[in-house]
Amino acid sequence: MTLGSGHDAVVIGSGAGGGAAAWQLCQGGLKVLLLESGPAFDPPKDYPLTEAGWERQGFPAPPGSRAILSYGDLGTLDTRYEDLASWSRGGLPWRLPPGAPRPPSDAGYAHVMGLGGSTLHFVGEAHRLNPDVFRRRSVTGQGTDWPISYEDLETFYTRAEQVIGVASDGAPDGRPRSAPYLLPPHPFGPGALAAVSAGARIGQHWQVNPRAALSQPFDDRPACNYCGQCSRGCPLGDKGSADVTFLRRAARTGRLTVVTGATVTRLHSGPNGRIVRADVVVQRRAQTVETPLLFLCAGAVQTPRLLLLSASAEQPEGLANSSGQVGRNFIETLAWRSSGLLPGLTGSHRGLPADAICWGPDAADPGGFRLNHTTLEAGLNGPIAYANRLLSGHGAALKDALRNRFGSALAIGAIGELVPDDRSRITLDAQTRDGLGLPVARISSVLTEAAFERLRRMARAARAVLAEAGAELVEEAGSRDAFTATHVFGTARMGIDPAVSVTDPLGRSHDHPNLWVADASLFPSSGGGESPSLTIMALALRAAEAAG
Amino acid sequence: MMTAPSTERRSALLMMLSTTLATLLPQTGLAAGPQDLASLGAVLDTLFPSDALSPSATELGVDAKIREALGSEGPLLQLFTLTLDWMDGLDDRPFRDLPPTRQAEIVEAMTSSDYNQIPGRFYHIARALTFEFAYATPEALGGLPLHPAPQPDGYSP
Repeated sequence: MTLGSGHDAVVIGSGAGGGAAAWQLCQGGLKVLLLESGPAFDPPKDYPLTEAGWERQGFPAPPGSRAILSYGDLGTLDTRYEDLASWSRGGLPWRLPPGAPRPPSDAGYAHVMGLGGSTLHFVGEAHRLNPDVFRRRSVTGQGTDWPISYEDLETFYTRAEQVIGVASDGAPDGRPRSAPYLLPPHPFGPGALAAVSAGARIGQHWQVNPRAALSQPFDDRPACNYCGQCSRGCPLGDKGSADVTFLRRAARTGRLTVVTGATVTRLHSGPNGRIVRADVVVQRRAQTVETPLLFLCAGAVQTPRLLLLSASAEQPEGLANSSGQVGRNFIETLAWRSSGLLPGLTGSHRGLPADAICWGPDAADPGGFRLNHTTLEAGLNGPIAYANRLLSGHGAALKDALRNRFGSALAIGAIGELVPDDRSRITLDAQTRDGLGLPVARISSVLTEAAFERLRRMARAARAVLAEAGAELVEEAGSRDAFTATHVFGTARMGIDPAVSVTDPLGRSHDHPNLWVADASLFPSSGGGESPSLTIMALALRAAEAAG
Repeated sequence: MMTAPSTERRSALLMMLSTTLATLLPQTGLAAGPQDLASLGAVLDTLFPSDALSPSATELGVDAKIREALGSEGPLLQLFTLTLDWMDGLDDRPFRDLPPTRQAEIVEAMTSSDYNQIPGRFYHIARALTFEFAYATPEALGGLPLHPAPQPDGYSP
């Protein structure tokens, strides 16, 4: 397939940002060429979840669906935070020694390259940022203010919700709405009921978690049947991933051309700073694509990498980088999870993952983090997890214990705001090359003392729920011991001042008038634990509407 | 959102072993091979015996899967070979020929062994692999409120 010209806009990446941008541009009448580096997945075939042994499999990882990465400075295992060490009753009793470098976990930067991007393996929490997030520095003196307000995004939040299909009850959560949720809430599962009840007794306000999973059939997609495996891929198509929502709708316009296995290796700027073309490799064949309008939506790791890879004699620091901010301000996911076994609880493997949430459980750290019921997405819904993480021993006693206690796991997760350390950034690793011979992205991410203190608050709040419920603590995991990040942010941040930001408040490059960024690279801050996909979509819709 | 920990354990196990096993193992010059694993099935069945509701590890084919996972060389195979050889030498007969009560005593004693000693390391790794392979089979789910797989029926709240 020869790409060349004939399109009005090029979108690089097809996840939350690329999918939404492509749809909005098509809606505006533009012919869009969508370039996706990874493959297309066939949900019923690629993640059927109908076979024995399903628990040993994660989201499929065919060739080309994960980026080659390297890791730089991830900090060290500080002995002052031993109380935040990961452990499990049934797991291997193995730890790195104090002072050792903090390693990446097996998952590391957990992402998917494929049609739909990381929405293919996301759980599907559909969160709006709290309005205070946008003025975080003004309110708390910490972090960074956004150059836009909640009101600037509200219309686009609503639009995104109505495309992907969000189910919730509309109970007050501090995020004003111009329209009700499209779908009624999912019922709480047994684990959520236990968490909500225990939380209420200690003054925490738990509520329905807005979820991009259909509680009723919608848009030719079926309702969720609660298999509990959202992060292993949704075979039914009820989860609101970009492939079955924005991209499917964009294809209906007849103006979308999708090319998978298409890796963009360099962008070229021309007169007046405009990006004039992109070099693309499609199935080992190098091509050139004209870029009358370019949306870069490759995520907070690959977006800065491509801008840095596009350095030239005229722009030796890379494209869009007159501020020197491309790749800086990298923010990982600050996360914690405490898990217990709760006598009397049955059936906690049933229901929808992440069905209940508690915003701001710590009055002394308002907006700093959230809690959610996380038993299912933590994988505590299969026998291998019980045997190898939650229970000790072996033999007949273990088999009996598993039968008696299966369904009694209760896990409370926490995700918090993280203000990045100056060392946290994406750079090019000239020593490690990808299959095309290009330097890979190198992730450096160091947790600050403030981050550890927040992590401690998160652990304390999660443990309090389990203690009040009467659960026996059996496993904990968090960011202290290993770098694991599904939500990453900040490496091409938006701002008003071109000296300290990469794009303007709409997402358009300060340096290149036809280059737009529409992914979590734009985020000046991480938010207070909100999952970012809905905000990425809203930002992309807003940018594409303005650009188109 | 933190993702579920991977159950693809072999790479993690090898990473741990590569950094520690060299200091644990004596310089035996041992050339490990599948023939050295004759008592493997007996150990696995001690970890995962049959009962009224589900078969034993070897009846589920776990021994073959672990042999495959161990491969033909490397630190994991060396750990298994060395430990099984040690277990075979504890009594007047190989472990596999001991009465079940004696087999249970030996394995139980290994549970409290230091993880940085060979018996403790072997116990935890053999245990993890056994349960992972055993509970990946539908026959092992007897007595559990589970379908063989999450789809197509799901689990309504």
